[in-house]
Amino acid sequence: MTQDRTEALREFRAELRAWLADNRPEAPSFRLPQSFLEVESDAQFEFLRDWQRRVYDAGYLGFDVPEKYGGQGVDNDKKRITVQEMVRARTPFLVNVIGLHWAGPTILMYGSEAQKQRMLAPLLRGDEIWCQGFSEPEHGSDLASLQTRARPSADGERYHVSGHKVWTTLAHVAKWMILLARTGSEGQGSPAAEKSSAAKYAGLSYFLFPMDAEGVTIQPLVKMTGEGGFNQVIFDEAPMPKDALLGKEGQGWQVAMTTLAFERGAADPAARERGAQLVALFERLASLAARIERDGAAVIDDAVAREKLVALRIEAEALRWSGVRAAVPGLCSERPMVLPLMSKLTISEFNQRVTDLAVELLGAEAQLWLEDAHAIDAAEWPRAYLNSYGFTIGGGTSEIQRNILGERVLGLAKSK
Amino acid sequence: MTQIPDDFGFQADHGTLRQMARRLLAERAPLSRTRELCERGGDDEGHAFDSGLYQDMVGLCWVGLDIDAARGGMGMGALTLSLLLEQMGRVLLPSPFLACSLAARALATVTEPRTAIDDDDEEEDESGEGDDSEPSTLDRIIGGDCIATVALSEPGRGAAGLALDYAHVQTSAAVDGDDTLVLRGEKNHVMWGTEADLVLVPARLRDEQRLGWIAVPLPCEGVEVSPEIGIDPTRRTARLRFDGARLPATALVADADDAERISRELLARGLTMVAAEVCGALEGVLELTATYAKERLQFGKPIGAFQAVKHPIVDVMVDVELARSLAYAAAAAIDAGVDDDEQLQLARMAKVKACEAYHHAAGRGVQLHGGFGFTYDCDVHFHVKRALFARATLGDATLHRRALAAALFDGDTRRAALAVVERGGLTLSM
Ligand SMILES: Cc1cc2nc3c(=O)[nH]c(=O)nc-3n(C[C@H](O)[C@H](O)[C@H](O)COP(=O)(O)OP(=O)(O)OC[C@H]3O[C@@H](n4cnc5c(N)ncnc54)[C@H](O)[C@@H]3O)c2cc1C
Repeated sequence: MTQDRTEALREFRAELRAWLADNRPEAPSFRLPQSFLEVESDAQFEFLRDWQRRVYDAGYLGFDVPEKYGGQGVDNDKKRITVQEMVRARTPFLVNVIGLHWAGPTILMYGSEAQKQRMLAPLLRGDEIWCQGFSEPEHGSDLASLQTRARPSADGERYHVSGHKVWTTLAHVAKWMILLARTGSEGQGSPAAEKSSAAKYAGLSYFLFPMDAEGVTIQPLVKMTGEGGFNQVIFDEAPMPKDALLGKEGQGWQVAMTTLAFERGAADPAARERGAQLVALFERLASLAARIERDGAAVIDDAVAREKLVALRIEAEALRWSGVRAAVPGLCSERPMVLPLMSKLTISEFNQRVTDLAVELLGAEAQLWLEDAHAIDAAEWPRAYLNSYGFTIGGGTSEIQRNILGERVLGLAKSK
Repeated sequence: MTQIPDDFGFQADHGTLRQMARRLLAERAPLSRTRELCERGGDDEGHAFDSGLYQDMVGLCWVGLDIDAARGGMGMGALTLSLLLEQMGRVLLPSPFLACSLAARALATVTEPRTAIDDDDEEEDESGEGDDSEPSTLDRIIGGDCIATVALSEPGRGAAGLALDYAHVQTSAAVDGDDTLVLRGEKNHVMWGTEADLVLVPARLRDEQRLGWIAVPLPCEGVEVSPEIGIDPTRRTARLRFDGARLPATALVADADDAERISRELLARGLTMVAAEVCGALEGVLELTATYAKERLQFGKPIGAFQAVKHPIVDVMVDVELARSLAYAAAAAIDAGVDDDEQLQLARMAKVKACEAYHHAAGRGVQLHGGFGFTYDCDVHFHVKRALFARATLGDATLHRRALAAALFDGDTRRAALAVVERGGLTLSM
């Protein structure tokens, strides 16, 4: 890196840090969602969207998108620095998660010029929110067997979608959906043919579907916490123009795998900061243990509690350094791809263990729920424990992650 | 504030060294050779390890790799040494390499050796530096002429084992006359104690107010070395009884603060090195088990196709990777010279994580090999035994977890943790 460049990046970081200090929003009067699984009310959504707009308008969002599509021009260093500084400043998350991290990069890879021109700027600014329509009631882990159909109209100008998508996060506020549907033309469409594994994949196509189309019904689903935030989407001959297709007909599986790779977290530019976040999550747990008492003594002074806490603290540290090590190829030579591939599994399970231990330490207090005036920390620990299953299931379950690791990394025989 | 660099201080030539070690050990010390050594009770020269290979390792300057060039070493870091040890762990190499490395390190740490005889005495330079007529002990260790070890544990400590600081060491060194130390006490689990030409012994000095490290040449009158019968055939240990052994005052290599410093450094480095070696052994048992899961057929398919087999193996792999990250971080912390307490914390974490993961992995290894896994013919039992040995080395998990808990949850740390929450703003997210 040239001296000028280094200097320019240093300045960039300093400016950004100052900007964040001035612009980081004050905590709202309502509960601020901590992840995109928790966006429920309009007020929450607008607050978060407003934050994303301000970041974009200030020129700090879109360092993976060329300027002609509304981005800042591809600049990995600046992207890394912005992620690092935002994590450091503990800003709210950018609400268009599916758009920014999964749909956007996929469109950049497979989109036509017109699609890139149309979609990317409003996506970055949060003006248009994206959701993901992959899973169906009967087909979750076995995604490739999905049955939602997109049928071309007689004049070839549009497709009509019929089917049922479920667990669709953010669909209630989304303008667009990345939709995986079956286009298998006549002949290919027979149930028997679709069962055969090759045809199952070949019959899939990937669309950028407009959520305001006719024939679309969005029904809120209630999460196990009793809160809202995700949905099911029912399509009844819902029309979309033919240029909603991303990539080619029949290429859907390949495109979807690209999206899932983004979703499950490729190399993380802010590994160190994220590692620090995991340790910070643990520290919240430790502070809980220091505040609550059992028979007059702080729980953190209890020998059994301490053993369990330390074991988790070690885990946090191991995850922290694994994130950093992933960027040092010479220290990953034994199995080069394993660290990124295992991060979704390990981080979601760590999160679950932390929240699980929190409810264990809370003992008799753990059963108090959100509205109870005596609930410790407003019952965020039991809520976080329940929510932890969202992460071990969503985005491919832990079991599926273990299959992938066993088969792709260790080369064990397929389980099917 | 010094911190661990993003690249852990890794350099391309470290990778080359690791490759070379891997190739050499694959050729000279595969597990089959280890088995043969264990079954025959040693090599042709009567050593419990392959002494020819050890001399070749000396020739490659592996012993003393992390010792300053000015003191006759290679001046490389803890990370490099870790990468070597990892390769040795992978083949369960029976070798006093780790014991010698630690002893060399301890000797190199002492800058100003002092006598215990008289506090006000003028300092004498006993290091032997500048005296090229006779090689120093450190020179002889690095040159392969002296197998050295460290006595880390005392029987009086029971399950806790580790006795490195003044509070825990019971062995005593009294002064007799002007220039004689008289050692009394007992050490156990001394790595390669039966093979050693020299053992470094921590003892309470004279008035029992200070710690000292004493270099005891072996054999030595008044020192009884009895081999322990250990579970791990790739390791030899001994119990040492000091029954009024008389040593010259110059045997005191470190006193008081210097001695405590040796203890701290030995602990941080030792734990880090054990962690690295165990990560290699973990890799070894993972390979063994994954290979078997691909080859062994039942119900018409490789057993690895069954998720009840596949998923535990994946969990072992995940653990290997997590343990490795911690082991490298602990070594990098030493090389970067981060704060002593932080070094020691990371070292404890790395050792606990690696050893607990290894113990679990070895157990899964037996189970997933089925009936064959229960036999002596199957190599996996070597790992089960090494795991028990490694867990016991340099303090078990309980000891280190307790120490970590005290460092992390008590006193100022606790106040700081509570302050963070009062400030608010920490998020609970992924
Ligand atoms: C919080 C949350 C948000 C989500 N957001 C979205 C979204 O925005 N868009 C979207 O499309 N989807 C979303 N999903 C859906 C998610 O991708 C699926 O729930 C997930 O892939 C699992 O599918 P399933 O629910 O059908 O479970 P199933 O596939 O029926 O699995 C049930 C159980 O069987 C196990 N299992 C299944 N197959 C195997 C196998 N081969 N080997 C071993 N075990 C197996 C699973 O691990 C699981 O434990 C979300 C889910 C959650 C929980």
